[in-house]
Amino acid sequence: MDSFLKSGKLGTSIGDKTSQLNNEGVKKKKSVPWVEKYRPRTVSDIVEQTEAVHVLEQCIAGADLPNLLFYGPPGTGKTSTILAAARQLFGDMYRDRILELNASDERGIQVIRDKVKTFAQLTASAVRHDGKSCPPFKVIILDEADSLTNAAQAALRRTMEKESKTTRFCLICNYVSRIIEPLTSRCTKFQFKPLDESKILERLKLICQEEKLQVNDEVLNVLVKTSGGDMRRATTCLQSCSVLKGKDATVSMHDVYEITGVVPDQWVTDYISVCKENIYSKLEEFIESFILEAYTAAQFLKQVNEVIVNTDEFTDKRKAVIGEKLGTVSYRLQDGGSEYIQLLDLGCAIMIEYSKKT
Amino acid sequence: MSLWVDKYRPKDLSKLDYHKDQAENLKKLTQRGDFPHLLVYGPSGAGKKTRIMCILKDLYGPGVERLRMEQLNFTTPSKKKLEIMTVSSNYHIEINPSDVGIYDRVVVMDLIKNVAQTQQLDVNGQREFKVIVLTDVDDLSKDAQHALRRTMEKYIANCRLILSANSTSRLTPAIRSRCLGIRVSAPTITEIVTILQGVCKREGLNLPTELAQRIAEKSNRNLRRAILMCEACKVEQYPFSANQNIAEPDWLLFIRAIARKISQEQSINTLASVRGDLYELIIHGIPNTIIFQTLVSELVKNCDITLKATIISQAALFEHRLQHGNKAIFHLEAFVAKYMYLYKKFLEDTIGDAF
Amino acid sequence: MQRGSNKWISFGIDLKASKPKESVSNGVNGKDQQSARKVKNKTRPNLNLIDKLKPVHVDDLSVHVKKVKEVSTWLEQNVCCDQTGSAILLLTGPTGAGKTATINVLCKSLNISIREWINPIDQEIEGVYTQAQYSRFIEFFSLGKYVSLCQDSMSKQVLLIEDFPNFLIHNPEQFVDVLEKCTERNLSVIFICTDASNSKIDFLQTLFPQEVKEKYFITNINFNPVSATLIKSALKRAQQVIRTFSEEYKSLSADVIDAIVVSAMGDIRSAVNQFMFACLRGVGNIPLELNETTSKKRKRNEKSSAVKFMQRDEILGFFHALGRVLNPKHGDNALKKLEYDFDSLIDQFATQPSNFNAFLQENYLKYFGDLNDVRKAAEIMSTAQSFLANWSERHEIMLYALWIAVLGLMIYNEHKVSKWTQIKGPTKLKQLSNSTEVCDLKRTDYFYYNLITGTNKFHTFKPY
Repeated sequence: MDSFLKSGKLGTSIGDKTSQLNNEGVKKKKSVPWVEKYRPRTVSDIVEQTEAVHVLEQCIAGADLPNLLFYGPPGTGKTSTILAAARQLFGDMYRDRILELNASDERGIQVIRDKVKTFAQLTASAVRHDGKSCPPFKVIILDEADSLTNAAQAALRRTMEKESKTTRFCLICNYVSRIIEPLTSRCTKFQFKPLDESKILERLKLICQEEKLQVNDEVLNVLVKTSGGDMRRATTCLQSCSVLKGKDATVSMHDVYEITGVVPDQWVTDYISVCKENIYSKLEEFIESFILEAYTAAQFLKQVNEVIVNTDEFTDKRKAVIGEKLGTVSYRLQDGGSEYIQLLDLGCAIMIEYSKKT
Repeated sequence: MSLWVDKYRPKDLSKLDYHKDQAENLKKLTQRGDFPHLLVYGPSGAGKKTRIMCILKDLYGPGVERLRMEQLNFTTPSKKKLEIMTVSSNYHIEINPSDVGIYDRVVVMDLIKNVAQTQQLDVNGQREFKVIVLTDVDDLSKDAQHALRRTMEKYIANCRLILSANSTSRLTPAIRSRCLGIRVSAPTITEIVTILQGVCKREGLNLPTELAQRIAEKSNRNLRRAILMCEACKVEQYPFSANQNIAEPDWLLFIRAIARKISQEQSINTLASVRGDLYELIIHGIPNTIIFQTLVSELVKNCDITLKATIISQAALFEHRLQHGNKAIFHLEAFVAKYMYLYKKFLEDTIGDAF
Repeated sequence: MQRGSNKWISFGIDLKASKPKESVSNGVNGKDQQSARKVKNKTRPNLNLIDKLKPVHVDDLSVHVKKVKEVSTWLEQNVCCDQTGSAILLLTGPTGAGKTATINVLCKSLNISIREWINPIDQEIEGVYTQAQYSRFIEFFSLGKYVSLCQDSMSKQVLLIEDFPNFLIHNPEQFVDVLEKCTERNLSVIFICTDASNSKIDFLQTLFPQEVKEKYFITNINFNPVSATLIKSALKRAQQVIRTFSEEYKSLSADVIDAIVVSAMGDIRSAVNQFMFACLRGVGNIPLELNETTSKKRKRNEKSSAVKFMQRDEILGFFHALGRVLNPKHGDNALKKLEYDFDSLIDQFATQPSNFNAFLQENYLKYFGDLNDVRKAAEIMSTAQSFLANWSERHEIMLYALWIAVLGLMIYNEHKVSKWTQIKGPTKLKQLSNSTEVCDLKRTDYFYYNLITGTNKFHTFKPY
């Protein structure tokens, strides 16, 4: 391990040169994640989220900015929106006027006290370097605010009020319920809805064009569908496909399934029909082989859910029973339960519902 | 002496016996500049480790095969000293963070920071990053996973992670979405048979197809176990005969014996003695999930379908609880007690019906 | 005690062989002169009875003779004789077992002077003070060689440390330096370590692990709680002392003494304190309480009583409370209500819920008589455990887990097995670490490694 760590420092002068050259070469090759590359640049580029866009446009036009709270599922453009707005508001001074804190940075109460407070206390002039006027405040973006500890949120409350003259906060989170009441009441809330599939498709097509990627519409449709309205996920998947297949290759349906972790429909239908047969040993066998295929159980459950919801074979009441089991099983799986036992459990539940019917 | 499992492990992506398409894709991946973080997942004995080593070799050349085993020391914020075994080469380091239990967060963070802060300046200049291989990441605590996701982004310039897991369901979506997932499904029975025969051929042995088939079926599509079984068969009896005895794992038989004991007599005494057996299994490192799964599938065998469903739903409840904390015995015992109760009632009812 | 003491005396130490009864009276006689003076001084209300009751004589000790002998042998061999090298004695045991008293009395009788370390009451600023304390503590040992001027230079000296300095709690490793110093300077040191209920201040564990004991050849003598008979005889002796001051103190009835003995639970100090309070004139008869806990060893029908408000703090010791939970007593009425003060029961374990749960889990099976009861209990234990595992940082939830476990076990135990069973500690589940040689193999495949190599390197499960 030591030598492993040290080997980095062992470079001789010759080594330095070559590696420098090499580094440059690699750096050129190095690609920016497409998510960053294709982030919307202006507020008007943002699709769907009309309310928030409207308010921000007003603000760019000269109005005051309230404290903001953006919430909604991932990949709906929350971070993009505020970043784009800030860029338009502050222009070149964008870097100085913004403090962006990620959830995974150390964000205990101490950080709120130190970093946020010091930043909040800086003054902001109403004039840009180039003489143009700009809003006299700074923006603190707290991404993934729902993972802030309660103590930290409480500490924020006071800061928010005290520094309201020069600082605006923008909290971004997935679940508004995890933000303490006093904070939500100090912010204007905007809900971000999952993006429309057509909008995502449009965007993906644009990216394919830019990146010179051969993807046919059918495959793109699958990508969009699996993304569930999550723009980021769709983009990352597309990039992963291209990474895995190499340059200039066509991305096939199979690749998309592999990358997105979608379980082939055959497995789902087989699962249901095995349950229908009402033979336990077959179910057991099926699940064993399913696990050996290493498909993602969570994704599988999602797909099973879809089938159950749409099937005509059950009454709504039965569906509700199965749905409840699905929920429990899915939670336990996420929480570390064994796939084998949990899937068996679900299978048994479906089995019982089937046998009740006859 | 080296086991066949090690001796005949493929060393190169092009020499892998199955999932050849995937191997090809992986090859392309290693040739590009933007190697992503990888998450290799699949059941045990499917060849995750083999693939990871092949990828590393493709990235760095034969240098990665010069392995060292070393003990690393870490200190937790609470001043507790931790030791962890690592396997490393000049280009990569491999650890199993679950070895340190609840302190996995500290170890993972420290390690990545250490590695990332020393830039790779290799003379050959193959890669500008080093690789950290984390095995059994599905056992990582939520805390560690949380820490990992930020670290992954922060140090991506100097190091890449290759995570290996049995299933993705225990990983947070955040980690999953930051890695390129490589699914390694278990080889089919036919594939295992071919591989076994290939191995025996290289050893200069003659393996009857029937035996190979039987071994493959017994191995539960676990290639590693199949090869071990095969070698064990050879030690026991050579030349092979088609119907010779294949040794099954001792713990499997042991758990079966426990299950038998439970179905024979449902009493507090049995429960007490089962507890002793379970302790033995736990102490000797059989993973809790495996104990539970095997026990459940053995126990439900002699029940009718309704009882099976009830037992499975109970099992699902207790198995889930078992994943938290380090006191698996509470939940195992609760399950066994519940089973005894249900089964006893079931027996009494069926006897009652008979008369 | 009486008989034993004769034996002990026959070992020929310079104590006069006296009959036990006499020795008791001797003890009192010895003080007669003093007490006579004090009795004259009637106006003085705060007669220090405690001093009177202190054991002066070896025979007065309420410690088992064998223990006394062990200690005195050690003193003779290591201190009285011309010792070469250091000698360290460690006395352990619960509070009020008579550890310090034994040392004091024996040293007096063997003419050994005691130098005791007492923590300086420091008000230094945080941070500095540990260092100051440390150096003073070390100094204490360094001075050990110089015999005080006032003392007979011939007399032997031991250092007594009962009051461990605080800094040792935080840096137990420094203690090794101290021990090193002792060995260097050939000192005779006696450490007295009280069994701690709280693991954080458990000096015994932190300062005297087995290696240390072996390395420095530390003799460890463990004192047990004082037996009821010994306490009783001590109280009888005290009765006699009291009689000489009948103006201020009244003598107690046998009932009350019995009650005190029971509630002291082997703590002689607490017994004496209670005794003193009880015999103060002007204090009414102290209320007695029916005590259901001691009946285990006694016959069922014999009701014992304990002093209600004078019970020892830890009257519900850890094991005691365990016993209560595992062996619940239902009331006689039809409702079978459990008659316990649950709050105080829970309070007992509030500091270590998971430990307590582990204890309960380990032992509950033996107290149950019905499979269905066990099933319910096992489920409730599992529930409690998942509470503990999931919310281990929230104290109140840990308490709920305790409530669940305690009430569940007590209520569901409907077919109780009433036999005495030893309580076992939770099984240690230290998993064997991966062997380095076959790092690549999973634990589930070790069996084949054994088979192939024909060795027994790994544990093999033997199904029967």
